[in-house]
Amino acid sequence: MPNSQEAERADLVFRALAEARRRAMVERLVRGPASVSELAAPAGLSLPTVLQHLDVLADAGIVTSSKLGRTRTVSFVPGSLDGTATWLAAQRTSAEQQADRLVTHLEAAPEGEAP
Amino acid sequence: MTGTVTHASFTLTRDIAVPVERTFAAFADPAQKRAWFTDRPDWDTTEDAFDFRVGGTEIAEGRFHGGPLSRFVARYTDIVADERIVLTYDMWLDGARREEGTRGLLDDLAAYLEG
Repeated sequence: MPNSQEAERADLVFRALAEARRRAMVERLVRGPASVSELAAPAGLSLPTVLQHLDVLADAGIVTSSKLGRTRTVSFVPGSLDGTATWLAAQRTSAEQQADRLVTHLEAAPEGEAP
Repeated sequence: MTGTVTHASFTLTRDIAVPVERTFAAFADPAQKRAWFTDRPDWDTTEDAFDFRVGGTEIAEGRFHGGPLSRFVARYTDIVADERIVLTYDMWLDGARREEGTRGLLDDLAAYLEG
């Protein structure tokens, strides 16, 4: 049963992901940490805009950042989207789940098994 | 009769890279049907019948762990090997009728092997 803390977190995560540029940042950061300017360049965004987006992602616990010298490095927080992924994966009708089991069965069955 | 009747219709499609005969066998062979249809860790079977021929009846009754008693009774109305399986079924949850319907199953069993 989701408690109110989990519900609040889910709100933050979905809000953070409800924006294409923030999703692009997440896609970039799961491959490895990046500096703020590295995140800004491909998106053609200004640094303040990137920082605003990163704040939203950080509030949701998806990214974290640390400052080394004059460079701010942003990292994806491993596991931060696991709860969301589990929730999304569970939202399937019983017919879909059954079809999934059929596919799993057929893909796992050894070649010679069928009559 | 009380309550409301909700009509629904849905289509599920899965592309599976196995020969059409294997997909048909997953529905026709009792052991294979059981393997993906009812053999699941969160399910205890209480009644099981499988008569895969036109006019034949299939029963799958059991209980999800901690969940309601689910009873599925189907009658096969048309079977063409490797082409289609048509059945009608009724569903009860804890003795209350929940669903009745016709399923056009496997009406497109084409297998695309030359990917």
